[in-house]
Amino acid sequence: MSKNMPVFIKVERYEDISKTITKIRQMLKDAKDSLDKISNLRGQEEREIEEWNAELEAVEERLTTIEETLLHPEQI
Amino acid sequence: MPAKEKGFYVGISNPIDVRRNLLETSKDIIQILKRYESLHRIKEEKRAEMNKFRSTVSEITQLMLRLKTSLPPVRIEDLPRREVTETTTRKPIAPMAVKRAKVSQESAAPGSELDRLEQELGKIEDKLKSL
Repeated sequence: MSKNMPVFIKVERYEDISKTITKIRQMLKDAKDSLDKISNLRGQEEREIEEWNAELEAVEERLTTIEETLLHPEQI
Repeated sequence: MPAKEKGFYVGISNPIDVRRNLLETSKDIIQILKRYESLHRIKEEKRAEMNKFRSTVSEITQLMLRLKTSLPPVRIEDLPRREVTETTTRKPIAPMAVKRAKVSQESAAPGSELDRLEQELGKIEDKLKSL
């Protein structure tokens, strides 16, 4: 079994690294928040499109009724 | 000379219903237009959030690079390896063969951002394989 030799780093760099890692963690949290918002907005968008579709179908249905009344009164 | 169209009358037995239908259709059409505005706003918001996300990820990439450069530039394959046995005693640590990591000088062909990311991924995968 072989194992890599340990690596030592200077303390000042250690502090830098620690700060960088903290910042990366914060940025990752921000990225996650952004993704959550994007996901929510996508959900809203999908719901809007579904309702849009329902409204268009309702208009189509009403138009059919109007058409039947005006153009084919004998069918009513 | 075009022939004059003759008048044509249709009897509507339930005019109130027709009137109501027409008004409701107009109402629906306005609702549809309103929804278009709402959808447009959502899309704008989503685009802004995506830009924010992209810039956050780009900042993370920069920070990761900074983290990488904060660490000693050691090529893993150049590190001496030690045999770990059951009877290993503590010995002074051998000086490491530290080499400056060669900065890739390959001038990447001007390509899209995707190509650049693909190259970067390839490099990381190569490094992972060498571990």
